Amino acid sequence: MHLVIVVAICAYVFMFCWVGLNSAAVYLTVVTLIANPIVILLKRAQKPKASRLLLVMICNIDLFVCSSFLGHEGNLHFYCLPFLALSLLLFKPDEFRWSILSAALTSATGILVSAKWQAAVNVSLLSQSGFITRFALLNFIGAFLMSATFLFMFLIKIRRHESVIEDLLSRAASKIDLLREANQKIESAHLALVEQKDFLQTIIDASPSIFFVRNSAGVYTHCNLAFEKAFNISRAKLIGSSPQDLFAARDVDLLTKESRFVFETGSSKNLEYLLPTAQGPLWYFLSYFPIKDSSGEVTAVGGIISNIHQEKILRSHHESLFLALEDSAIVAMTDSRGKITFANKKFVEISGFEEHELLGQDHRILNSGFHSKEFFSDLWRTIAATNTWSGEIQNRRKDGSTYWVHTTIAPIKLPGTEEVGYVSIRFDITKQKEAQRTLLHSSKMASLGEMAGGIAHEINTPLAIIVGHAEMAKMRLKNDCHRDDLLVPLKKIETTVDRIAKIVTGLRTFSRNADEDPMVEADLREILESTLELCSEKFKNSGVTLNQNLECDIKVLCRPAQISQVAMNLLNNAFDAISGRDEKWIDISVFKNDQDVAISVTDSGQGIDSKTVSKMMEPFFTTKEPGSGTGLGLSIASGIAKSHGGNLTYDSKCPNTRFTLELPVCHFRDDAGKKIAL
Amino acid sequence: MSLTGLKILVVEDDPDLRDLLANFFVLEGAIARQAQNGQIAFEMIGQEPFDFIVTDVRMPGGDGITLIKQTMASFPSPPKIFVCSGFNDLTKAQFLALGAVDVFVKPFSVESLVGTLARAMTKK
Repeated sequence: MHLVIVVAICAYVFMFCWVGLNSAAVYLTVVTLIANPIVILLKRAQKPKASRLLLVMICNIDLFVCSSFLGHEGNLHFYCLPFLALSLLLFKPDEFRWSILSAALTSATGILVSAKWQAAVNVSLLSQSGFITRFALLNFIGAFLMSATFLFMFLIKIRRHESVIEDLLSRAASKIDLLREANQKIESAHLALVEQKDFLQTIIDASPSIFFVRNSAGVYTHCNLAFEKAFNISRAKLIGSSPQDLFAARDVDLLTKESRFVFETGSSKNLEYLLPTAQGPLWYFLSYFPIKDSSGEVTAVGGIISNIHQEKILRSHHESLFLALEDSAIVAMTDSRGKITFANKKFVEISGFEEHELLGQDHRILNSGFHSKEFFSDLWRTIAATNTWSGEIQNRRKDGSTYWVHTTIAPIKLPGTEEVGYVSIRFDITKQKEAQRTLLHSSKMASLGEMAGGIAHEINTPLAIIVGHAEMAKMRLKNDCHRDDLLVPLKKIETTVDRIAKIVTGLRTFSRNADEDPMVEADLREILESTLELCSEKFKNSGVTLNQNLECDIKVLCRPAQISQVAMNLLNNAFDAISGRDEKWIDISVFKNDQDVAISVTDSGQGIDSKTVSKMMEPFFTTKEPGSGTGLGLSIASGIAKSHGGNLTYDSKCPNTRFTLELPVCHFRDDAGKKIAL
Repeated sequence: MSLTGLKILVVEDDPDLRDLLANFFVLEGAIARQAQNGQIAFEMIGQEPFDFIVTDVRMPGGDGITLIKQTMASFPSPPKIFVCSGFNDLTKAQFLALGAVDVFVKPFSVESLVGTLARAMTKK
């Protein structure tokens, strides 16, 4: 713009020089020169309207003056042209309207005025110097044309502007549409997000497990319904608070420790914990997991807590049950074909097999041969029909010895499959079985004893009759005839009856269950003699020599029946032991000292090996064939000895086999208080 | 003839033994009656005076123990009772406590029984 001003000024200066000074021109020039900077200044001072106005004024003045001097100095028009151009250039496109309109108006007014003036001086337009009038006219036309051109350009520009504006508007509109679309998308995305959030919340609310999220500040940001219910806290209260606000300090420490771990390591952590809930302390399975952002940083910790209380109780219950079972019973499990899949410790112990020797085998390795084939096929039939079988079985150990078990076998579903297996639970009843046998034996003996008692009674009366008659005969013989030779056989009858009586007494005494007999003073010799009566025939028939040393007159405080039983046991043992020998004798002797009396039974055997000696007093231990003897004799005898305050011992120093029953002697105190033996 | 003048009641269910005892007593000069059980014996005691009663214990239709008890209870001066017992009966002490004078365990010597009866007679 400054350039234009400089050009205009130059143009004016040029025109001055060319045209020369002229009053009107001078005034015009001066005014223009002064006004133009002011215009520019005004424009600069952000007063476009004022500058525009001034410019228009000047322009119009110029035009007016120029037009009114149409008939005169035509070269004046030269002045206005550059000025017009300048002024027009200074205008903004949208102000062209005004300037052109005003320029046109001013020109028209000038021409009219000029014409009027011309008419007044009676000078016609066309009559003047053709050149000037034409020039003026051309000027005028030129001015109009320029105006028109400008107007045209203006309109085009407007249109262009309009189109630009339209374009802009449409672009704006499309941008607005895009924005609207984007906005809609955002809204729908937002809705979808909200929906999804609700969906997730519904899901986690539906879960029975407790769910929560804690951020890095330890504050709860999410939770579910289960959480609220379990701890009786509303969601509103929970979100934004920390564990410290809600739980006991001890629990807080643990829980925050776990979540700190997750934060620091970025890995999950699971544990079981007893949580204090509204329903009391319950076992929960706590699972903490990290929530990471896109860069892998842990921003929050999530927790899922499941109630395992029932399961845990059940599990520990089952564990205790199993442990109890393990300790008390023999447990085995087999597959559907009967092959052992599990054998507990007791099974291994009692069977003598190692665990690996049992697994994969079936129970045939325990077969003792006691039971028949039918027994086992019945067992299999029962359990194959999914029934439980229960009964007593004799099994065989690895070393060949046997034991009795009470067995229950039940079919079960193997875990994880549809297959059927079997579980067997056994209890060792070997002792009970032996006790049963003993009981049977004792009851047999008892009934035998009873029978013996009845027999004894029955025999006694006929014996009395025999004795009586013998005595009567003796009497008659003495009185009436003098047949002394008949006295001998009659005496024999008496003594034989005596013998029979002793046998019967011995038998009866021996067979009685004498445990509850009172202790009485009894003559030891009588007891032993009556016992010997029971065996003497047997010994004689087998060629066994019996030596008796029973000469001492000793009274013992005892249960005679039991002493008889002990003596009987020792004698029978001795008899059985020497049955295959060449030299067969049995010696029974009684020794006495101040303290006690010893009854020794010695047989012609060569003694007993130390291994047997250590075991022979044990119940059920026997060196005899199974079925002959219960193995109880010595243990019972030993027990009897002990209950009498005495002892049953084996004399290992004796070259033969000797058993000694020691009994305390009966003591009385005399008047001086000193013990005297009876 | 050591039992002369005595009236003895023999209570015993076995006929042979009963006869034997009775005959023995008669041989020794006594008068002997027989009863096969305690019931009959008790009735007889009520009807006749007896000096001694020799009784068994186990008898069908009235045992010896009841007889002893009844006799001791019912008569102000009962006859002397001697018991012939088997194994399973009461001990001697128990019989004596009931009121018997002596006890003989079968099989016993009849001679010794007679001897005891004779001695008891003189004590009267």
